[in-house]
Amino acid sequence: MKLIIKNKSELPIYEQIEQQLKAQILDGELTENEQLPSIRQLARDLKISIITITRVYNDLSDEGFLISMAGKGYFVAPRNNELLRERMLYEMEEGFGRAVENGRNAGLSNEEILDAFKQFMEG
Amino acid sequence: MENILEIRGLNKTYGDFSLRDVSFSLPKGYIMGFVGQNGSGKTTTIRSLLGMAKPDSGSISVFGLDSVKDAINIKQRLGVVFDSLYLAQHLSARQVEQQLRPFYKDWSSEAYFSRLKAFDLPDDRRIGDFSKGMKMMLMIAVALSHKAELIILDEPTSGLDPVARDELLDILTEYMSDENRGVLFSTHITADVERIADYVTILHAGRVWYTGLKDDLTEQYVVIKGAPEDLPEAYRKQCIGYHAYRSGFDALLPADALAGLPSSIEPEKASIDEILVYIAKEDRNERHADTDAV
Amino acid sequence: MKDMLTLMRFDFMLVRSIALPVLVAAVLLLTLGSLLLTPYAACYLVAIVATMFIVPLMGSEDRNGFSKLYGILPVTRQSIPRARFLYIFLLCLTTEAYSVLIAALSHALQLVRYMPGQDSPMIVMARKAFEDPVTTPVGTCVGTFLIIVIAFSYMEMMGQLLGRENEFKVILITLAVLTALTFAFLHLVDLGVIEPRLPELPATLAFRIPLWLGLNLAAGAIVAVFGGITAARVSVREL
Repeated sequence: MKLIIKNKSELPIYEQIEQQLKAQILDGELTENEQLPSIRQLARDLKISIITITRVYNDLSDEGFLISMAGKGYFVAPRNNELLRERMLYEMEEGFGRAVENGRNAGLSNEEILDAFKQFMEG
Repeated sequence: MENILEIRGLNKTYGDFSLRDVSFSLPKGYIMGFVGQNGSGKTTTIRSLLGMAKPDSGSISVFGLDSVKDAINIKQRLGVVFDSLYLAQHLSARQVEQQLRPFYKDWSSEAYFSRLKAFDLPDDRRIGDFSKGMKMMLMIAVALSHKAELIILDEPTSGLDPVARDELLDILTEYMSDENRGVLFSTHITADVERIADYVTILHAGRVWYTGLKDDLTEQYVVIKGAPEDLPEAYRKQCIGYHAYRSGFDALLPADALAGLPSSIEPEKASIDEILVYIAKEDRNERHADTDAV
Repeated sequence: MKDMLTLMRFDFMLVRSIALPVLVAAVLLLTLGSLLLTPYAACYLVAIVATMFIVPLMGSEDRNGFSKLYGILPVTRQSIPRARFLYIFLLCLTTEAYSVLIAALSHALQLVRYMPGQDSPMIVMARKAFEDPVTTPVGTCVGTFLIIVIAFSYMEMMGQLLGRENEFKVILITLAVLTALTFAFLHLVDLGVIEPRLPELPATLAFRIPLWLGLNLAAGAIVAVFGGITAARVSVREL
């Protein structure tokens, strides 16, 4: 598991970590049922506050990416988890929303945006 | 959740400086950054905790014990690091251990010497000849050698290079892997606590300006920049430390006041450093406003 | 009580590295000098020990930032100055007891009679010392102890109460004068110029020992008073 924190990024640190962890879980780098480092261990490794890491793990648990087992720790949730799928769909729609807004801000019409999307999918 | 440290209503007047109604708590298992300008009262607060200064009123409890009545029991479990060495300069680290060991019930010579080794500190040279960074590491070695549950650092990194400061952060995060411990880190170099602090207390002119979760603090304030004409009066009033110059202005704004801000004005998340700077600027603005009014 | 011991040991360790070698040399020299030559040699011991083991401590607090140490150590603030005075007293007391023993022993054995060079001026002078009764060298040892222990604890008190910078000059002068007086006194006694005349007292041990104990206790009481005053004032001071 590799996590990189960029101090100068606009994204808050907890978001950076969440995004990277989610990405690694979604593309399989972190495997199902793999155990993550304990909150304090990860805080120590990254030199980040414990509460920030706690928040990350809690958020990811709520969103279905992680499962917390009392006394044992945090594990990557099984991939066919319903919550996870819902989450991925939600992320996709968010992405659509942002893409459309950006396209409109650039002055593109709806058709032009669709064209660009098609090209993206085929490319 | 148990508080490892509780300060309630601390008041102390020294000449023309006073600590006014200072209260904050640190729950067990976390690190608190104690920040503020030089002279804001951080060291006075810590000295009151250690019984080196007597407050006019207020109470302090550490590990649930009263800091006055149970001072000795507290100090058995307390590690303290100052900005300068409190040991005799002509002694060696080995002799220091001989001096300090009998004071502590839980002193571990093994822990002390293994720390010296890990920090690359010679045990037979005059400690007065140590560099500033080495002196700090020595104080840390001492603090970590008697099973201290709370470590208090008072400006430990002033005058240190970034490498030494980073080493310190490493040691502190390692120390905190045990959830029964706590750290109070007082500094005016906020970058040091920006990352690792769970809680932050900001002292300004002897008063608590903020105390609570660090993540909440950095989400509650933004720095805005733009052209002065673009900023509506309503927002201007809520600005902290507003500063206008030829090519624009900048200020600190509470995040909940952001709604409806013109898009020509750019908000950026505020670092703790910036918050301190704007608080100080606000003071100056108020002083000038007073003199202008006169 | 344990705290006091730990604190005294703390003070001792501050001076140990420089003082110990000197102490060993002084004890050796003066013991031999006393046994083989004149009992009065033993009287210098208290002054030397005090100078090497007590003077360097004065002002060590300011030089080394000890005020912070007092905030850190798990002992009451009063015990720190009290331990310092106890240290001063016990150090001088043990040295005095030892020097009294050596002086008495020297007087009893009079080993100088067997030394070579019986005609040399040094031996002649040394032998003159035995014309005094044993109470004179012993009394001188006790006398120097009393002066030094009271003077040094007084200086420590003034130094802690008034601040070392203020008191420094006065301490230095007092110290120099006292040391000079003590050494001069001893020297003159040695030369036979002064003959310390003690009051006519019963010559029995049964009287002398309680007298000796009484004097030591009185000195201890005075030191305790100085210590108490210092502890009371210094422990509430803002650091």
